[in-house]
Amino acid sequence: MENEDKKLTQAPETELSEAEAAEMRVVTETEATEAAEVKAETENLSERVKVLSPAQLVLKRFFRSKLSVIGLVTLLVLYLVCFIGPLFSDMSYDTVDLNGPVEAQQTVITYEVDGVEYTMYDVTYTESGINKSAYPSAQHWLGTDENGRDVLIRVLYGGQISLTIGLVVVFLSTFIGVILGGIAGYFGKWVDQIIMRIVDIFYCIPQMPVLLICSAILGAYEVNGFARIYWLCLVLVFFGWAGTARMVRGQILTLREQEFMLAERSMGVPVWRKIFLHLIPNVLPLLIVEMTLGLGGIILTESTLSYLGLGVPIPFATWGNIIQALRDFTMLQYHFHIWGPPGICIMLAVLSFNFVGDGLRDAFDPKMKK
Amino acid sequence: MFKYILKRILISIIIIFGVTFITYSLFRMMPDNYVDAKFMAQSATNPNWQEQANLVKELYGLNSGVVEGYFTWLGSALKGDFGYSFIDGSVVTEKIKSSLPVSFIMSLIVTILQLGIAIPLGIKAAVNQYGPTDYITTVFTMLGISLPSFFFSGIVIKVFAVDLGWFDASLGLQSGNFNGNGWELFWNQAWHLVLPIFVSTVLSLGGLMRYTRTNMLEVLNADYIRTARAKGVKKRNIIYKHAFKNTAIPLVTMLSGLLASLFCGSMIIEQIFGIQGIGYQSYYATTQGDIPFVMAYNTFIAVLTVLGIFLSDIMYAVVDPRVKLGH
Repeated sequence: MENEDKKLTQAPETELSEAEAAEMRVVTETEATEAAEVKAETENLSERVKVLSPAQLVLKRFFRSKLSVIGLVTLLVLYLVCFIGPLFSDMSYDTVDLNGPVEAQQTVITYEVDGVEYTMYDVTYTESGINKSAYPSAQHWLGTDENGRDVLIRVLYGGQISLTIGLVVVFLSTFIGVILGGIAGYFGKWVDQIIMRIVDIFYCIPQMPVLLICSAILGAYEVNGFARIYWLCLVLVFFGWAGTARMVRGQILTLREQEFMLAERSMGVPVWRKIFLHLIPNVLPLLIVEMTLGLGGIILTESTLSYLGLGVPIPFATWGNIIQALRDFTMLQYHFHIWGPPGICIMLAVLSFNFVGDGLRDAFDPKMKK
Repeated sequence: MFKYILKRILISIIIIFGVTFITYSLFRMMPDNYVDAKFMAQSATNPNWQEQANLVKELYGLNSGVVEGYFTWLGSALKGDFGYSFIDGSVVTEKIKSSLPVSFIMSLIVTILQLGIAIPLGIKAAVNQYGPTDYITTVFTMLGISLPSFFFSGIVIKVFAVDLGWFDASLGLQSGNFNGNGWELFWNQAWHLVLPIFVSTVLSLGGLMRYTRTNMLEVLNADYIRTARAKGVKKRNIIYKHAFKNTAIPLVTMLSGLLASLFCGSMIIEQIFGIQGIGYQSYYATTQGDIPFVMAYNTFIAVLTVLGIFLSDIMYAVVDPRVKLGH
C-alpha cells in the first residue's frame, strides 16, 4: 500500500492532461473500496502513467524553454570549436606570419638645377615583412592582428583560456562560499557573526578598483606567463565568494528549522553529515543556478581586465586581450575583423550562460507548473 | 527600531574599517611605489631626491609597516584630510569634487532612463508571459547585460561617430578646438555625453527588467489578482493599480541600493569616451599607484555602498507594513 501512496503523491507532478488526471482520481477512489481490483488497476496505471523522478522533471521543464536550449547548444558549440578547432591548423596563438607583402617605401626628392625641376624617386624594398593587420583572406579567415598573428586561431585559443578561467573561478569560489556559508548558517551565533561580517566586508569592496590594484601588483612582481593566469584566477576567487556564502547561509537558516533536521538531531546524525549530506544538497539547485549566472559574470570581468592590459598577458590570447586592439583608434576605425569576433564570442558565451541559468532557475522552481 | 539602527551603524563602521584596511594593504603590497619612481626621475637635476622622497613617504606613513601606515592614513582621513594626489599634487577631496559632477549627471540620466524603460518593459513582459513580447524584450535586454562594456562602446563609436559622423570621433567632453560658453558650451558637452549615456543605459536595462518581470509574475499569480479579475476589474487597472503596487516593494528596496552607483562613475566607459569624470580619474590613479586618491575614492564608494544597503533595509520596512525591523 505504501508503494501506491507514493504514486498518489507523485501523480500531480506527472505530466497528465486534465482528463487523464481526473480519470486517475476516480480510479484511486475505487481503489480504496474494492481491494480485489486494486492490483489490476494500478498495474494498468503504471503502464500508462510514466512517473518522473525529480531530476527528469527538471530536465523536462528545462528543455521545454527554447531560449535555454539555444543557450545550451551555443555553449556546447563554443566549447567544442574552441578546443577542437585549433587542432586542424598548424598555427599556434603566437605564430607570427612572416610572409607579409613586400613593402615598398617611396621617398620623393625634388631639386632644381638651372631652372629645371627634377624629381627623384627613392624606393626601398623590405622583403618578407611581418604580415600585420591583414584583412581576411583565404589563408587567414579573420585576417591578422597588429603583430601578424592569425586572429581566428587567437580567438579559438582565447576561448580555451576565457572559458576555462570562468569554470575554475566559479567552482573554487562556490566551494569556499558553500563551506563558509554552510558553517555560518548551521552554527549561528558568534561563528555566524564573524563569518558574516567578513562576507559583508568583501561584499562592499569596490570590485573593479581592487582587481586593478591586484593586477598592478602581479605586473610589478613580474608574474608572467601561465603563472599570471593562475594568480588571476585566485584573485577573482578571493573577491568572488562572498555572494555565494551569503546565499548558502540564508538558505540553510530556513532549512535548519525544518522537521527533517529535527529528526536528524534526535537520531544523532553527526554534524558534518547533516551539513554536507543533508543541508547542502537542498541548496544545490539554487547553487547551480547561481554558478551558471556567475560564469557569465566572471568571463566579463576577466575580459575587462585583459582589455585594460591587466589580465592575461600577451602573447597568450584571451577574448579580452584580443579586443585590446580597440584602444588604437585606427584599429577601431578600420579593423573590425580583429576586435569584432572576440567581442561577439564573449557576448554569445555570456548570453548563453544567462539563458541556461534562467532556464535552470525556472526548471528547479516547483512553483512553475508550466 | 532604535536598537536595530544602532547595531546596523556599528556593523557599517566595522565594514568600512575592513574595506579600507584591505585596499590599503593591497596597495602597500606593490614593490615599487609612485613616490620613489617620481623622485627617481628627478635624480639628475635634484641631488636631494632621496631625502625628499623619504620626507614625502614619512608624511604619508609609507616608511612604516602596513598597519602603522594604515592608522596614519585613517587618523588624517577621520579629520577629513585625505592628503594630496601623488599625480598632480592637487587636494584629493577637491579633485573628487571637481570630477564628480560629470559622472553624477551621467549616472543620474542613465538611472532615470533605466527606470523609465526597464520597468514598463518588465511589466509588459510579465503580462504577456511566454508571448512574443516577452521573448523579444528578454532577448534584447539580456543581450545588453551580456555585452562587454568596452566592446559595445567600440561598436557604438565606430558606427555613430566614425562611420556616420554624427558625433565627434575624437571623443572627450567637448570638441577639441571649442571655445564658446553658455548654451553653446552646454549643447556641445551634452552632445558628447549622448553616446556614453546610451551605452550605459543599454548595458543596465537587463537587470532591472528581469527583476521587475520576476516580481510582477509572482504578484500576478496571487489570489487577490484572480479575485479582482473575477470581479471584472479592467485589465489595465489590475496591472497598474493592483499588481504594480506590490511589485514596487522589491523595486524600491533595490533602487535605494543603487545609491552608490550614482556617484562612483564608470571606469571603463568614462575611460573609453575620454570623459574625465570620477571613474576616469580613479582608473588612472589606480594604475599609477596614487594611494591618497584611490584610498579616498574607495572609501567614498564603500561608505555609499554600506549606506545603500542600510537604506534598502529601512525602505523595506517603510514600504511593506508586514516587515518589522530588528527581529
